Parts: sequence; structure tokens; C-alpha cells
Amino acid sequence: MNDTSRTRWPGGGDSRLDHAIDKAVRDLMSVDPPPGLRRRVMSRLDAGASRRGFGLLQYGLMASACAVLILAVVLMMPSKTGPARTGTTESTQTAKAPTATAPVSDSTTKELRPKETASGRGRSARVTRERIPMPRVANVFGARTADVSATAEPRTEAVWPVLVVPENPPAAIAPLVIAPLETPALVVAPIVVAAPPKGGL
Amino acid sequence: MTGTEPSAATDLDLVRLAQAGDVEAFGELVERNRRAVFRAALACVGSPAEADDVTQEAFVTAYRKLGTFRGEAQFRTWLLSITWRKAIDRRKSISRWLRLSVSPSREEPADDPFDQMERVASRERSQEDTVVDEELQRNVTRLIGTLPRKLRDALLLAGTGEHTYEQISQMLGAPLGTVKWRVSEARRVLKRKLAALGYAYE
Repeated sequence: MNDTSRTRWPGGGDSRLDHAIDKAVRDLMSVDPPPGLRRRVMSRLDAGASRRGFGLLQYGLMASACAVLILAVVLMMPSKTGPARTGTTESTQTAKAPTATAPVSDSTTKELRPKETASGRGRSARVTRERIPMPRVANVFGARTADVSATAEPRTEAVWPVLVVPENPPAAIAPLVIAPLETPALVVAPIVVAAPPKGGL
Repeated sequence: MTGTEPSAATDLDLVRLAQAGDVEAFGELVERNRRAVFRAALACVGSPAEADDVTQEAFVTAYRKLGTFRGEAQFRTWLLSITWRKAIDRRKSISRWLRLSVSPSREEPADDPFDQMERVASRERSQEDTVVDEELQRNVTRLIGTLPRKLRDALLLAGTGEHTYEQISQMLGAPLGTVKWRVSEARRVLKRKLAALGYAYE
């Protein structure tokens, strides 16, 4: 047992402040447990469970609140997914083609080819991972004709809108001629040293 | 131990009886150690109501773990270690933080309810205190609540009158010299803060 009335505190003294600290600590800690502690403990032992019900409820509420918060954050996040292209070729009859629906004429020559296959997008800056399912449409352009239908093309690749570029002859570039650098000759005037005056300095 | 008065039996005897299933023997252990356990809990949580709860939990846990007590140390020391762990868990618990945050008796949320302890202490103040000393006592009590936890725990545990420094060392898991240093440092910090308030640092 530690009798504080006789204990010499480590570093303590007999000053007024020391007495005040001793008294304050004594007053704070000289509290007895409420009566009936033994009965309460024994009844807990008999019940075989500690008092955790209210705590469990609180933890459950906290967990639910956290789950709702996380769900709200996830739902509010902007979609940053990219296309999950699997490399499958799309049917040319679907509406998967870009929105430019210029009809393809037989006389059109392809001047620009997409760098990727039909299953890929070459130039789009937006990368998505999701595969956007598009409904299969029989023909959005109406009845098929050999003129406009891509199936009339004897190609196996998808038909991209063709950019018609008039033929231009290659630009003639004159060879670059670099004229030699002509520098004038340097003329250095002779240094004339004046003769010292007669009679010295 | 039939025929032996419970009060004559040692703590170890009662522990052996309780381990054999004698719940009343454990009840006697509760009676003998209730003050030490309660004050240890009070030093940590700062609130008599929470200290009572922690005390009950500590005894229940001790009863459940009684089979692990081998008698190598004093029963009270072992019990106080359990109590301190329970009290620390309570002090860190989120539910306690929520309870303190929404308590209508406070103007602002408090981390440690040591102002409750201040109210308890003022009721027990003697009549002979002068007005100046009362103000000093109030300041000291308030400043104790502002001490770093390690220093405050050591100071209050040493001031309970129920715990030896060896027991405090076991509870806090710190060497004996460290415990004594913390008590000394707590007092030094308090005196420095009181001097800053205008009280003479003697």
C-alpha cells in the first residue's frame, strides 16, 4: 500500500505548491466505488455476459453509417473507365460505326486508313475500359442497296468514312542552297605611338 | 478451505477456491480489491461512472481468465494490469468519444472528463481552505487535466493511496525508475504552469 500522507514524492518538497498538488491529487483520487459493486459483479457473472449490448448497437450504427458514406462516394465518382476492347470485329451492319455517316461511293478512294483494325479506335483521346453494348440494328439507312451498303464492298474490313482528298502533286521543294559566307577582310590600322615629349616626364 | 473465515484466507487461497468453482470466494476477492481497481480505473478514465463500469468489466474478465493466473505474482498486481488495459480501451473507444461529444452538460466536446473529477473534488474540500487556496486548488485540479497522459496517469496512480510503485510499474508497463520520473516530471510541469499563472515557484 502506498500511504501518500507519508510518501515523499519523487522530486517533491514542502512548498505551498507541493501541498496544493498533493491535496488536489488526493481529492481527485479519494473516491470510493459506488456501493453494491460486489453484487453487480456477481450478477454479471451469473448472467454470463458483460454489458456490451449498447456498445454493439453503437458499433453497428457506425458501421452502417460508414457503409452508406462509402457507397455515396463511389456513386458520386465520375466514371473514368475505358473501353475493354477485346479485339472482336464488329459487324458492319451495326451502328457501332462513328457518327459520320457519309455514304461511301464506289469511286471513292481511301486516302486515309485507320491505323487500327475495325475493332479498335485509333484516334480517340478518351480511353474507356467498358465495352459499350450497342444494339444490333438491321439497317439504319433503309433498304439495302448495292450502292450504299458496305456489304457490297468486296472487302473484309470494316468501312470507315472515307475522307476524300484531292490528288495533289507532291510539292516540289527546291534544294537548299547555302551561300558561302563572305566576310570582308579585316583591316587593322597600325598603332601609332606618339613620341615622348622632349625633356622627359 | 471449509470452516475457514473468508477474511482469514489469503488472496491466493481465495483464487484457488475460485478456480475450483467457488464463486463466493471470488466475491470476497472483489470486496478486497474493489477500491484499488476502481481508483486505478478512475485515474485513467477520469469519470466515476465510467470507472465503475470499467471496474465491473475488469472483475468479470479476471474471473474468466482466472485459470491463467498461476500465482507467480500478486493477485492484485495481476488484477490491476487487467483493469488498466480495460481502462485504456475505454478511454480510446469511439463510443466514449461520441458520448462525450454529444453530452449536453458540456459546452464543447472534451477529450478527458477531468472537469467531472474537479466537481467531485470540490464537494470534498475542507472548510478551512481560504479563498486564495481554493483558487489555487481549482487551478491545480484544472492543470492536472492538461498534463500529458503518461505523466498524469503516473501522478494520479501514485496518489490513490492504494498502489505501490511496483504495481504502477506493472500496470503501465514501464520500469520503476520511469514511473518515478514521470511522477516527478508531472509535479515539475504543474509547478511551472502554476508559476506562469502567478503562483510563486518555491
